[in-house]
Amino acid sequence: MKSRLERARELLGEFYAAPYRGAVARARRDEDDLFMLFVFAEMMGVPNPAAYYTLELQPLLIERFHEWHTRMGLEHSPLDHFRCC
Amino acid sequence: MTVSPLLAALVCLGAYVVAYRFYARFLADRVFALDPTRPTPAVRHRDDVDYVPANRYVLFGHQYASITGLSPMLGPAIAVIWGWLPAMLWVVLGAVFIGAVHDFGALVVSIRARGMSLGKVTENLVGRRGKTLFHLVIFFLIALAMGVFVHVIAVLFSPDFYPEAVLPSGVLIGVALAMGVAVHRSGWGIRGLTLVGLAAALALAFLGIRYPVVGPSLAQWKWLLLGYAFAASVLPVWLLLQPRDYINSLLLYVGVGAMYLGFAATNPSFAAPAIDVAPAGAPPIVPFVFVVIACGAASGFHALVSSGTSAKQLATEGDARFVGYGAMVGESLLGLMAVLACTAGFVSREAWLERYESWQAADGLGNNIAAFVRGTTHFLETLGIPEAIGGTFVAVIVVSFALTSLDSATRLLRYNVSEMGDTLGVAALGNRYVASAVAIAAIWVFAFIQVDGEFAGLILWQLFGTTNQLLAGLALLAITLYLLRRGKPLVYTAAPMGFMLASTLTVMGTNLVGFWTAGQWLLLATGATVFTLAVWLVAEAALAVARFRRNPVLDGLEVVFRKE
Repeated sequence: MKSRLERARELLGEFYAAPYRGAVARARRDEDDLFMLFVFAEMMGVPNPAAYYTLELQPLLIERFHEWHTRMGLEHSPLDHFRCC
Repeated sequence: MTVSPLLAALVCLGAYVVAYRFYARFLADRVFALDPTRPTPAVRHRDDVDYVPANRYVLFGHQYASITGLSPMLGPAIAVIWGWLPAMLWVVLGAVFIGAVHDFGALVVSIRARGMSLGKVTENLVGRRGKTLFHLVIFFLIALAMGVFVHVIAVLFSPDFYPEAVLPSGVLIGVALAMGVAVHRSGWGIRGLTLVGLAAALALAFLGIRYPVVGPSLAQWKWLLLGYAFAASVLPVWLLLQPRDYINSLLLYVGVGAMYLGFAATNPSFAAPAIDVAPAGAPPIVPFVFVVIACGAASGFHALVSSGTSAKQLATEGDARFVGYGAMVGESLLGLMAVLACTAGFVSREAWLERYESWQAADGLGNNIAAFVRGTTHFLETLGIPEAIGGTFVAVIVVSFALTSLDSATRLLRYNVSEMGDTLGVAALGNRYVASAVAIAAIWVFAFIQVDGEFAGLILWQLFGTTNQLLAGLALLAITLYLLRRGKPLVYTAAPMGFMLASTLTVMGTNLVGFWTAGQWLLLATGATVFTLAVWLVAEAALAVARFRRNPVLDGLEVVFRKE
């Protein structure tokens, strides 16, 4: 009985999430992309008043850097002094 | 000889079972060559975002809830003016031989094409012009349907109909918003929310009866609804669409279940005649009945749901029959309920005749949907639900179907506008606010259109019906071409396609002559565009068949994309 209830809850949760999983993930990714732009803005010559703080975040985001710039349509790193691939 | 509605309904249910067990199985084995061991896109391209293998019941639930809206109730509610038999026959036979085959086929072709949407598949199979045709058809389809929906909701909210439904419908939107925030931001569990959502929906009926909202005029309601559609189209999906869809699906299951229970308990008799070939002012029964009942029997809109969304989540090919064919049978059940409610839900022949006096009396569309609400309320009464509560509850369900269609379809229209902007090179249409505004403007045109000072309800409904069948024809063309290339039998998809196109063209032709003589220029322009699109489709089909005949039959079942 208990496991059946558990199963029902799982299915309900799935029923809630499944149709919109893609749309929600894409929306979240778009937000992240904007954030990446903030973090790397200064390096591309876009003045960013928070550059001093975002600099600290760069090492944390570097893993996603390649995925980000290819998704933005740039085959190689857009930054002169920042090699990627 | 009198036929009991219960008996007729049982025969129909039997037909659904037989069709699903035998015809759908035959299609699965012989025509589409489904193989449960072939990996589906959800398995092969799994990314846990778009491509995720899903439980077949979850997928069925989603497919069913997405294809079912206001249309399967409204179409039959209009068409019973010709009597119960033609409407019932078309709802059952149309669904079994055309609608369900179409939904099933679109799903199968999509899983054989990496879960691509029908637009992409059409581009690949029919050519680039096919894609343009596809976009234009969808544009008209959504704009027309939503114009009608805005009008119908506004009418239902007016003091003559169900002002009790206003407050519950409004509060349900609020409940959905709160639920969206709770799940997405606060990570609340789904079980509690489901109970709260359902309880709220039921309790709200009482509140609505206590505080009916009367005030805004018809036009003001329409403006409010357009504003709502705009907001829904630009807000994030998790905030409004997702929880609303969820609550709505639950209401759908509870509602349909209760209606059938009530119907069986009531065991009514038909108040309508079996068939009335020429009611006052009505157009000829053939082919108009095929167009008036679009959803519930066959609808091209379903191909959009089948391809793309469901196709990316199907866990095995074997599930396609259940999800594609089965969900359409489920929708047809609601269409059947609408036929029953509008013919057997009346207390007497006189009461029925009063509502279905003439074709023109049905023009506002509000009367028709009210007939559905009244009929089902009558069934629910037998279950011990008082008329006032039952009526408000059904009206809230109807409105919330229309509203969910409105918010998700406006978003679809927005995407459509953006894609057309992309093709035309208009960058501004890529902006979601601009695209939404264009979408709303298109809906606005049809929501306010008038003929002789009255809303052009029935005419728009027929235009919507024809466009919907046209899209079904286009999807069936893509499916047929797919089968042609693989040396499979064609008649099961080609014959429905021919039927859809023939009825569409005859109805449109008749309507165009009417618009011309009446000097309805806007309707004439819209109708002429749709007619041209239909002719274009026929030409495209002929060209594609001629081209494909020359090519050898392919071995693989996969659709090969040209650019690769």
